[in-house]
Amino acid sequence: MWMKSWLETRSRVTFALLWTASFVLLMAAPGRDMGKSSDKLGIVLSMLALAFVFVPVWLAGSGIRTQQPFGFGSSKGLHGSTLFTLSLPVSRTRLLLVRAALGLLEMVAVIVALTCVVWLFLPAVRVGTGPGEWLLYVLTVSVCASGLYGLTMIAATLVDDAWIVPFSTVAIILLWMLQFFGSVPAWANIYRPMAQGSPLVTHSVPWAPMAVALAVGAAGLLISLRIVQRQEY
Amino acid sequence: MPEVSQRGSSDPRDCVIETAGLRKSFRGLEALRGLDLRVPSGSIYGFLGKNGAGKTTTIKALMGLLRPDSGDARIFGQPIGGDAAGVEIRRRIGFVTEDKELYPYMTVAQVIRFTRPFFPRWRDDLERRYLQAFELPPKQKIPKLSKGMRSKLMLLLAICRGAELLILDEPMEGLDPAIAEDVLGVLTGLAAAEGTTIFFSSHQIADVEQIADHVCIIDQGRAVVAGALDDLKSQYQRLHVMFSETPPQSVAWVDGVERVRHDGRMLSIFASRNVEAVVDQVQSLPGASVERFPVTLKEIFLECVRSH
Amino acid sequence: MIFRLTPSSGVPVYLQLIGQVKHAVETGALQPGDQLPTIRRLAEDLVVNPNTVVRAYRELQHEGVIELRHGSGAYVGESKTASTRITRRDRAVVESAVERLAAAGLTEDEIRRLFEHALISLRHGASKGGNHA
Repeated sequence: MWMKSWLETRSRVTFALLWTASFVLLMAAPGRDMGKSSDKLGIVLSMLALAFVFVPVWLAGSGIRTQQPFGFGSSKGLHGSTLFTLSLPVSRTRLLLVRAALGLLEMVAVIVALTCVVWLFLPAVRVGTGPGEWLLYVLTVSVCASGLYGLTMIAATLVDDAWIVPFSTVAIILLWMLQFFGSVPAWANIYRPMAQGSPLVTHSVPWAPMAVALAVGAAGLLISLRIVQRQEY
Repeated sequence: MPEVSQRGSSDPRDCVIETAGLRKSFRGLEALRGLDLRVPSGSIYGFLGKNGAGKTTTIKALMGLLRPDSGDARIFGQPIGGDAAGVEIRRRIGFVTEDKELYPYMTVAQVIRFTRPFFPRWRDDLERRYLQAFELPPKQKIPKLSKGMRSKLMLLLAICRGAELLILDEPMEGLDPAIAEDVLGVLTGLAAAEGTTIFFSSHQIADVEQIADHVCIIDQGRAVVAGALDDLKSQYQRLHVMFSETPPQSVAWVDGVERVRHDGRMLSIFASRNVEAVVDQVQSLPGASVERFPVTLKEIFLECVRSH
Repeated sequence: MIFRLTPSSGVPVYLQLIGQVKHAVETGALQPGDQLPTIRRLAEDLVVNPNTVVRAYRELQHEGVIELRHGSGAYVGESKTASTRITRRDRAVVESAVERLAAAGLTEDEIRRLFEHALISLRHGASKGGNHA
């Protein structure tokens, strides 16, 4: 099962890596003459956060439906081989859990990889921060992103393959904009810890938003499970 | 002298698949309207029907891919329940889908290696044999295989599991006659050697007639004919009646007469049972001379499915 | 085994198979002691339902045409009296009838139809217990 999910997602992972890497590279170039290092760090983090926010969207998959390695082209809502998968003696729960777990691991891998790249190639951002805080940063971002991952999973189980990415992208952006219009309390805002609110800036661990993110992620997973179990093919 | 024992179970209660009153609608369209099925253990069971009659819906319901609106369905005596119950049942079943699609990013060898660990009773000997007999190239990516090859691959994956029951949705579809004959041979060999129950749907009446010992003809979501093929063939008969004078225009036919066709002084009667009584009745008509013909499965199909 | 079976003709396949085995024995293609294929092998080769072969073999065994030996399979029976029910005299009856009909000017088809009619009446007569017009 793991092997299958990996084969399905490996090109997506590559894409996610490239996507985020290009983000970083884009800002590394003109960023040389930006102000103080602390400002610079903030900017870099914001850009990274922007990139990381969308990683779950790419990696969350299509529920338990078989994915095309690069799902854009699939116009038929249901790939025939999904029926084959469902005829195997595996519960739908397990199918979804394996897919979700692998996606999460890939997401964390992308975050770690990119963070390392940034750390290596933009020495300016290292100023005033220690490796411990970078680790915390990775952890924080991962946890918060997993909240978004859980949400995307729901979309992935409900929405037609070709529409998952645009749909989730829009949803995530809308949620992000909520913080400006509504009065989202600081403890619930899971976007902030990925940028301004991250341990690298505040030098503290944002427990509350992380807990919220975990809760949201778990809820997303459970809802997706229920949906998948009741679906018909 | 040692007795030859009838393959498979003759006990009607020993049914591998059993449905009662199965109903399913999609968006207001009734696909199944109370389907009753009984598939005896060890039989080769042919499931015939026009397009849209409900064959694939039935098979999907049996595989737990969709949930019937009402009615009972059991495989191996177990109800096809929710998620977990289905897993144990599926460990004993081999399935071939209608469109024979497999993972596009895998090769032949990969998909076999992927499928194998799910089935503790996997038969390596069958895998070796059919890999060779079907001439499947292990390193070839699946989308590059022809339709016939993909069908064979799916069949291999279904057979090698050491399953007690095979559920095949149109296994011979799109296959050229030579390969189709190979497949039929494989199925009969499997049934004989392993006692596997084989449930398959098909459009090809000839294929079903050749290897099935039981059939069910489904029309508009209901089973219109079902039973052992030999029994059906002895029950149904066609009578041609030639009259030496003008035949009576309206006759109150006895039970068992399904269809009567007139043409001048000739009559064609299709009877589903009670044939002796029908023959008696015909012979009592003035000037009648009767000839009896056995019916083929195709005739039974056409007569039973046509006029609804 | 070279047998020809037509599943969609009116005759049940197992009867066809019985007839073909008997024919092979009569003509000497199968000699007493010859081994017949296993049920599984024959079903697979002829691509017919294994139960058909089972039924045919059972009937043939019952009539003494073949023997089933534990563990080794099916063999053509040694006993001469059971090997074929069709005697030379039976053959002569049919041959003379055909010759006479042909001499009367009937074609092959017509003769064949007459035989089939007669068989059908026989079948109908037999099942009615002999009460026929």
